[in-house]
This record gives sequence, C-alpha cells and structure tokens, in this order.
Amino acid sequence: MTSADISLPKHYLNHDYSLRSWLTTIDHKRIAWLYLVSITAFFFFGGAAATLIRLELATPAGDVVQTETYNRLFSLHGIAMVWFFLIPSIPATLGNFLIPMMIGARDVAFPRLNLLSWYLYVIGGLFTLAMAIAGGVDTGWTFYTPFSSLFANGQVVLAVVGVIIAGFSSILTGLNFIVTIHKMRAPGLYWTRLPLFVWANYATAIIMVLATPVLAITLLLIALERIFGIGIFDPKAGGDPVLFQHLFWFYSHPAVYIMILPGMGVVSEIITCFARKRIFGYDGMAFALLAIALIGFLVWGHHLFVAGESVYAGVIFSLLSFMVAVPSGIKVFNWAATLYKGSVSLSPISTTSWWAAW
Amino acid sequence: MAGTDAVSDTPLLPQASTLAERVDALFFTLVGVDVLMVLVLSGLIIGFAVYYRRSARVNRTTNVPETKTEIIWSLGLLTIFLAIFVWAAHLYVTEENPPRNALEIHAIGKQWMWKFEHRNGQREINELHVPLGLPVKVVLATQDVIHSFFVPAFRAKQDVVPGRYRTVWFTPSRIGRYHLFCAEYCGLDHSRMRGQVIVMEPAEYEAWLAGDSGAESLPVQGEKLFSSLGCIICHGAGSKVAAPSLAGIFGKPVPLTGGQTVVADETYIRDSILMPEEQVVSGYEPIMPSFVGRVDQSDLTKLIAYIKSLSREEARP
Repeated sequence: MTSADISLPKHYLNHDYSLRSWLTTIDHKRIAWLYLVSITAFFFFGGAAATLIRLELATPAGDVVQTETYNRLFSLHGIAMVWFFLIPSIPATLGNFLIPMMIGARDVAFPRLNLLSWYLYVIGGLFTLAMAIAGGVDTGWTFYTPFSSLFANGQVVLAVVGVIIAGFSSILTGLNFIVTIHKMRAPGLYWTRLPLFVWANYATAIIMVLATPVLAITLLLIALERIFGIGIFDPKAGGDPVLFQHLFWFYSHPAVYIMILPGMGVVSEIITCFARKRIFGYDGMAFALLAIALIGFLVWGHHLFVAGESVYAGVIFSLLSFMVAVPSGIKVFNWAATLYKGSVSLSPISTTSWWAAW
Repeated sequence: MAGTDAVSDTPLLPQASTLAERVDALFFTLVGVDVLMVLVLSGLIIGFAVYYRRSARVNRTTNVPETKTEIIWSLGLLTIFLAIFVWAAHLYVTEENPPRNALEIHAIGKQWMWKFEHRNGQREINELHVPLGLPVKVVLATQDVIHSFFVPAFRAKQDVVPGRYRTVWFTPSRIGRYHLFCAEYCGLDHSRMRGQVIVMEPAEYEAWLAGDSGAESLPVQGEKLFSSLGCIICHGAGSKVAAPSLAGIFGKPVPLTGGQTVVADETYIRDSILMPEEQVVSGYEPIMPSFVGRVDQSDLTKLIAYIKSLSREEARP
C-alpha cells in the first residue's frame, strides 16, 4: 500500500497538495475543480434559502419566517442560484476541464485570466454573503425599478456590486473560451469536426461576452440611482422604469441560454457515446446552437408583454420567440434520431441523458 | 374564505369574461400539442433504445438522408409555430384594444392596496363592482412602484407603471366574486395586495353606484381642483395669459415646439401637469410651473377626468 503510493505517476491532482498550490494554480483542470467546489457551496447556500421558503409555505400562516424575511429569502435564493450556480455551472467546470482537452490544447488561451475569473467569482460571492449577513435585499433577483432604486430598504448596492463582479468573471471565462477555440485547435481539427460540447460552449461564450456587460451597466445604474438619485429609472425625474426591464432582460433572457446551451452540449456527447454512433445531423446541431444564441438576443421583449411595451413590439417579440423554438426543436428530434440504428447502452448515465433530452 | 362573501371557487379556474374562453382554447390547445410531442418523443426515445439495445441482433446499417430529414421536421415545426403565433397574436391584439364604448373606471395601485373610482365619484378599496355583459375599461395608475392588475377569472393582466397610464379591459360574463391580485412583486406586503371583483346585474350595479356615495363625480371634483390650484387663471376662458385652451383637446393630436406631435392622452396631461417644460405646445412659452408635490395621484385622476369632460361637452352638438 505505502510503496504503491510512492510509485504513483504524478498528475495534476497529486503533484502538489498544498493549499497555496491550489489557490495560485493556472491549470485549467484545477481551476475547474476550484469552480466545482465553490459553485457547489453556493448551490447549497441558495438551496438552504429555498428550503426555508418551502418550510414556511407548508402552512398559510407565517410561522417559520415573517413576510419581510420571506421576501429576503426568495431574493437571496434567486441571486445565489442564477449568478453563482446556474450561469457558471457547466462552462466553468466541465467547460474549463474539457474544452482544452477536446481541442488538443495544453490549456485555455489565457490561464492567468482563467484564475482571475475564479477569484472574481469568489469576490462577487463574498459580496453576496456580506449582503445576506447585513440584512439581505427584498427586491427579488430581478431588481425591478423603481422598487429597487427608490423604495427597497435592504442592501441593494452590495447585492448589485456582487452580481457585477461575478458578471466580469463570466465575461473573462467567455473571452477565454472564444480565443481558445479559435486559435488553439489541434491541426486538422476544423470547425466542422469540433465536438458539439465545444460548439455549445462557444455559443455560450458569445452570449457571455456580448450580454453580460449590459447587465453590469444596468445594475451600476441602479447603484448610482440609489446613491446619487441620477433619475434614469425614476419617472418623477423624467426617467423610465420600463427601460430597466428592457436592459435587464436583454441580458437575462440570453442568460437562459447560457444556462441551457452547455447542457445541450453535454446531452449531445453522452447520447452519441452510449449509442456508439455519430450524432444525427452534425451540421444542423452546430448550426442550431449558434442560431439559438443569436435569436436568443432578440426575444427579450416577451418578458414585457403586459409591462407596457407597444402592441407592435409585443407581436414582433412573440414571433421571434417562436422562431427560437425551431432550432431547439431540431436538437431534440436529432437526439432521438441518433438512437435510431445505434448500439444503445441502457446504463444509468445514458438513460439520464434521454430524460434530459425529453 | 367562508361565509357569504366567498369568492367563486371551482375546481378549474372560472371563465368569467368573454375573453376567458378564447384564452383557454389557445391554452389547452398548446397543452394538447405539448402532450402529443412528449408522447411522440418519449415513444421514439424508448422505442429506439429498447429495439437497438446493445445486446440486440438487429440490422444497424443506415442511409437516412440526414439534412433532408432535418429540413422536413424543421419546416413542420415552423408551420406549427407560425399557426400558433398567428392565433396568439390575434388574441393579444384584441386584448390590448378596448372597445370604444367601454365603461371607464379609474384604479390606483399603491403599496399595498387597490383604490377604485367610478365615473360618478363612487369609490371603493380592494373591491371592484362591475356590471355583467358590458365592456369595462380600467384606467390604471400607480402612486409608488410597479404593480400588476390581475383577475385570473377574466384572464386579464396588466402591469401598472409609475409615470404612465395603462388600461386593461374585459367584459364580465358571469355573476360572482372573483380574485383580484397584484401580480408584480411590490415589496413587503405584496402577497396581501389583493381584492375582489364583484360582477353584478347591470341594474344592480346602477343601484350600487347611486347608493350613498355622498361624493361628487370625478369631473366635478376635478373642476374644483382646477380652480383651487389656479389652473383656471391661465387656462380658463378669457384668460390674458398665453396658455392653450384645454377644451376639446383630450384624445386629439397636439403639435409641440420642435415639430413633433403627441396625442393628448392621460399620460400626456399628467406629464404636462408634473413636467410642463418637457412637451410644450407649439406657439407657447414654457412658463407653466410644475405641480410636483402639490398634486397626488388621486388629484391627477380628477383633473384628467375634468379635462376629459371638457372634450365630451365640446364633442356634443
């Protein structure tokens, strides 16, 4: 036993066990682990808030928590789960771990930037923890104005600063993926041969880089409005509260695709692997990922159907929302078709991925 | 919810407006299509997985034209989606355009209650009486944050945005009491910001409306404010100050300095009272002071009702 330990070959996990080596690592696999651990911590943090919400809802009366705490709990749950679990979940863990290996690169294009991205995530998370300890916010995760900017009395500024910082983590990860996938593919690995998981993360990275800055600007405006009363969203000062919703959903709808596209990539890989077959319609699948990412930018108005956008805007956004469902439909049909004439393993992993496809 | 005031509770959501059936028809069609898709897909997935399981000795040679197949089901999906879109968009446009003859009721949302004012000044809080079978248009305003007027039994929902007037309309089709909710999170007691909509026979509604309100009608109250606030000094007939006359302007296009034109709706009149320097009528100087802090949302409703009544008188021969 002991002699076997000594003879183990050194790899990324066992070459150095010190905490310092983990916190200063620029190895994409180790950074993926750092993310996995911290994202899991936030998942349980957000989950604890959800547990309290469900306990409170067991009876109509306010017996576990009162109204105010309840409102703060669901806001905390939303903020933790959206920005500290769902958004980074697959790209920052599986993406960081697998993309360089799948394309035959030694690491991502900017390893130090990758580590910085994790630190930003942690700092953003610490702001969110500080916000919760200092009393939380009761704005909901959507921070709708003018409630968040003029009426809410919680730690709104701390909360939005935390999300802005975590947003930069997302931008840096996206930037890293785009450059890595463009410039570091092994010779002969053309775009038309790229694994679908890499395509999925590429499409996700584009959304991260293009949409997240809009969120940062929007939340910064809320902080400025609260501190200096600049009046962007305050109707009494000539501002427009609905403008906030447009800006917010310009990020937050594409953010839905940040959450789901990497998952679609995972499902594509698992189904093909356990059916021992090429994916059905590879070109269509890669095209559908990009189409979802692109059209996903043009559907934010379907969150504002009754919020006061014009009827024309409502109808156009509705049409575009139906359009984005077409590539999503292609993907699901192609997954089913991949099983056709396959050699299908009935293992738990593959059955789970069919459920995901379903 | 015990006692005689019980809100109509049926196993399914009651259909209490003329639009409810149309909304439900679309909704249940969509649910039906979804169920069908789920059955087809799960059938395919489970069927293929079992038939082509690794241990099965089956023919696995395939020459399916992949691109052609994809194009076929993409076009199929597109056709289904476009059909649903046309149906849904048609309904949406109907929902967004109130009939011209609709009975008008003013509503103000504030943290955390709904206040209603009927045409003759009758007011109520967290209860809204409406007549059966007549189209009702609720003009919505809010005093603080965004609220949302939501009557599930009518399938009617509209957000109320500070600084703007919004309308929602419905034609009640069933006598009864129905839930009214605020459907946009609005702070501490949002979950308690709810009320009832009471649908009555038109005759009963008239009797209720005439009952001991003791209040003057909205336009009359507005006219008094028009004097007491001093609006009449400049905007009154025969005034020496160069201010536009307000008779008959409601609903009409107004030319502005700078060349644009706006329709003088509720929002424009409100903005002109609170921010008079913003949209100045062409040919006039921006001399009007702002009334921010001197009028509240309720006063604005009265003033607007008065200015509207001026147009009605104008319109009559």
